[in-house]
Amino acid sequence: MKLATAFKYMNKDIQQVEKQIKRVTKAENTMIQSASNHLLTAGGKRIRPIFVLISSKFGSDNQNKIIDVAVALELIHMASLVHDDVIDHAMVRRGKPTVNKQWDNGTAVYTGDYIFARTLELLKSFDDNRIHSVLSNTIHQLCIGEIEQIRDKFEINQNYFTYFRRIKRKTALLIASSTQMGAIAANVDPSTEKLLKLYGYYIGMSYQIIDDILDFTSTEKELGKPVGSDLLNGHITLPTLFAIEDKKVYHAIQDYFNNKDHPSMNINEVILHIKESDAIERAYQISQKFLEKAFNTVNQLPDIEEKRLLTDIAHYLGERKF
Amino acid sequence: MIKLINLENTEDIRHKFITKYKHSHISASLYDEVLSNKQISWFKRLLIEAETPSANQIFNALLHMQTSLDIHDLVDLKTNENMAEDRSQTNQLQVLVGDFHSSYFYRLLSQQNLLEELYHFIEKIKEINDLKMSVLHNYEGHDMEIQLKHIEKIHIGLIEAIISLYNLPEKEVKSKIIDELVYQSDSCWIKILTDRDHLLSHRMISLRKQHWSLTK
Repeated sequence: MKLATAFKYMNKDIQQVEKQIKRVTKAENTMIQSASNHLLTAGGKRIRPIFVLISSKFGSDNQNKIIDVAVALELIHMASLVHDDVIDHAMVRRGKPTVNKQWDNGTAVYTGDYIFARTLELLKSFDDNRIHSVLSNTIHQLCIGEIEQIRDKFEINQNYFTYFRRIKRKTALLIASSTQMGAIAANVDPSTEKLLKLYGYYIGMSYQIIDDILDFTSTEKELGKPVGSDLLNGHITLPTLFAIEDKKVYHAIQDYFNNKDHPSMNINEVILHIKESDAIERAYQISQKFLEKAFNTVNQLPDIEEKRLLTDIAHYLGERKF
Repeated sequence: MIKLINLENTEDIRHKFITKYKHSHISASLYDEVLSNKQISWFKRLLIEAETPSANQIFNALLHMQTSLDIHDLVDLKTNENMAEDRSQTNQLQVLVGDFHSSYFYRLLSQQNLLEELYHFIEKIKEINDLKMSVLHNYEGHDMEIQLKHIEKIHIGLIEAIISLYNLPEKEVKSKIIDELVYQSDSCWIKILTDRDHLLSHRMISLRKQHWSLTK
């Protein structure tokens, strides 16, 4: 199953989301408009809007409001990406120059801030404060996750708890918010809303672990950045956490972290070693455990057609190669 | 929550705010150039005058948003691929901490169900970022007066939003606010203008100051 199948099934809704994103990011200021268009045309899987739309099908129809929630989630994701690129000094994203590369840091920072404000404005039609409560808490946690990621950079003495908490904040909560907010917007009953939120959380955890595995196992062409970039940039992810149980790997990485500016320092051998070690398989098993939890959660949902779609998307995300 | 009424000293408020809300990983020195005592003083004064029961919550939320806006102005505006590592780290943190405080702004207002106030301030925040982009990309070319008007709005945007939200009389205070928060401050936006055209910007700044002194 390809994500495109979900797109096909929800084609009309997705088209409306795309149209609304364009409308919402249409600013009077032509530079904001250009930077937003640049971000939009860079594409993206639109996973978050898809989850909002599917979750909403478990409740009563409230189409316009649901589209707004779907758009809001994608815009928050876009705003965080444009700031991430300034933070990471990234010059390319999805094969295109980043906003900070194409224009400058200032344009990227203020475009992100503008999109954030525009997103909140978009949710004006909601009297239900739960939408804001969920979203504001998620954004706050996302920011804490980002700060702690910087704190933990080039720090080898990390544990599994730190890693799981970080990916929860960085990725899983925004996907859980997508499924939960879709449910809230469509007045889904509380127990189904809770299941949908849990599903989003498990999918998000699995998704990020797969992302961290692909950083080692994919190719530079597919990744659009060097293989092992996370480790090269000082980020300890799950495959590395498993790999450093071997003291030799631990010391090699520690040596690299302590002397990374030395011209003779080279971590490529360690990256290759991790790629070929059982650390990848062990990380994959953990991602599968989160996926199983997602499947179990889906099984408890009311029997409607979209239930199958949630299972299919989970399969697709668990098996993706890039 | 930093209480609006019980604290007289703005420096005290500023210190307590930063100590209470900054992330433990972030050094207090990152806040050196943000959230001036004058800004705090105007937020406080106007919110006391507004006599709103949510004054404390609004006050805190606005301190967060002003911190966010100010700290994002400290990020190196130009992209430099060969930036020194310590400067690059500071840049990273400035973006992150700005986002962190804007998330607090959103969280505080939504948790207190102050949605009308949230939307009112958001409108202004959108406008402020819009104006920053105009000045940054020099949309008005050599029209310094328009650019200075934009800069005034950038600096006093949130204060203006309090005035309009609570229908406070602005005439008597606006010139004072602009003088203190724009022309007596060390504005990075004014610096952008003076760097572009030193003579013209100084001449225009004098004219704007004169304009505001006449409207007192």
